Amino acid sequence: MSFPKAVSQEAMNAYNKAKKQIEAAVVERAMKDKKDIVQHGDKAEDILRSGISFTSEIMASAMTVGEPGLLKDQIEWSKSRLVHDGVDQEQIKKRFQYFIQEIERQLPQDYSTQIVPFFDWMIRNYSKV
Amino acid sequence: MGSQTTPHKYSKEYLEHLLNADRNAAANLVFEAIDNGVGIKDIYMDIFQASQHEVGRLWQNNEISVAQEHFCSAATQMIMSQLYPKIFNSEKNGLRLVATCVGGELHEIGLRMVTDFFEMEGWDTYYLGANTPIESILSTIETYKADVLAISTSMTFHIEKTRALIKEIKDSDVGKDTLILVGGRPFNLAQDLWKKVNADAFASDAMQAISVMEKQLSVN
Repeated sequence: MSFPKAVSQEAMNAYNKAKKQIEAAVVERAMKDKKDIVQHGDKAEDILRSGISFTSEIMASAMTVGEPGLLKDQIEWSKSRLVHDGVDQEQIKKRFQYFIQEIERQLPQDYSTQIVPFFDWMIRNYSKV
Repeated sequence: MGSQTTPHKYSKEYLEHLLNADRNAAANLVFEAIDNGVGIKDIYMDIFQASQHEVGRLWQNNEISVAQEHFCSAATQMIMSQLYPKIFNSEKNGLRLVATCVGGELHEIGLRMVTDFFEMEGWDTYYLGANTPIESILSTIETYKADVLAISTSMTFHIEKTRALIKEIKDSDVGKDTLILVGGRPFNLAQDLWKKVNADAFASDAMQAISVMEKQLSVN
């Protein structure tokens, strides 16, 4: 379960600068998915926005220090907690895929190639942890 | 109840009182434990800390609400404050600690416990709690000539802020010689995380915080 190295300060700054737009685009993509909306009802957009923002902050922390323990803990937490909130695990992986697509679209390649492996790690290891 | 002499025997009943929103019964149980000879540090570790961990687990499993979680924390903090006459009477050792949560962090109880342990060991402590601006942290370090700054980070997503805070302190004239101790859940998850945020030391709980800092400062 190899883990990516901490990203450069420049890549981190670029992510932090763009993260609001990245998060908004991920929410927009998720809102188009009926499965993501139906389980949250009328509050789908608010719930998604807050969940995506939380995910983004956690990922930023892991990128800053390159520590797998932080993400393993979040996977364990989400598996035990989000099931009670009606969130499907496949939907979670799909949202990480949306993040990857938006990071690659919105950030220069020098930075996205450092950042994307963290989201990719989450997708690959979600079921294993 | 009078036959109970070890703190862990009280912890289950203490938590039950909190979950039943019976703060007075929880407080009375703690006073009873003290009357039966249980030490304050044991009460902190085996009753307060143990119950807070369990409250966190119950919330995570959706067995209690956010409101219940907040009530339990607030009640424990209130009960802790009733013990202060027993805590703030230690002989002083000349060392000073400033304690703060990283910006935006709202989980204060762990840091409160660490600060109280230092106070019990004879340190002069200055507890700043949550949401303290960096300028205020620096001015407190300067005013009280702090030997140690303890920073608490409970939420993983505050790690970036923790690293930035430590950098600002170490880059400042006022804070460059102050030892920085970090603690909180993310540091318990990743063994070397404290080094990656450039802290000088890490402790997994209040008891360890004392021994780690005494070793660093060669107290004893």
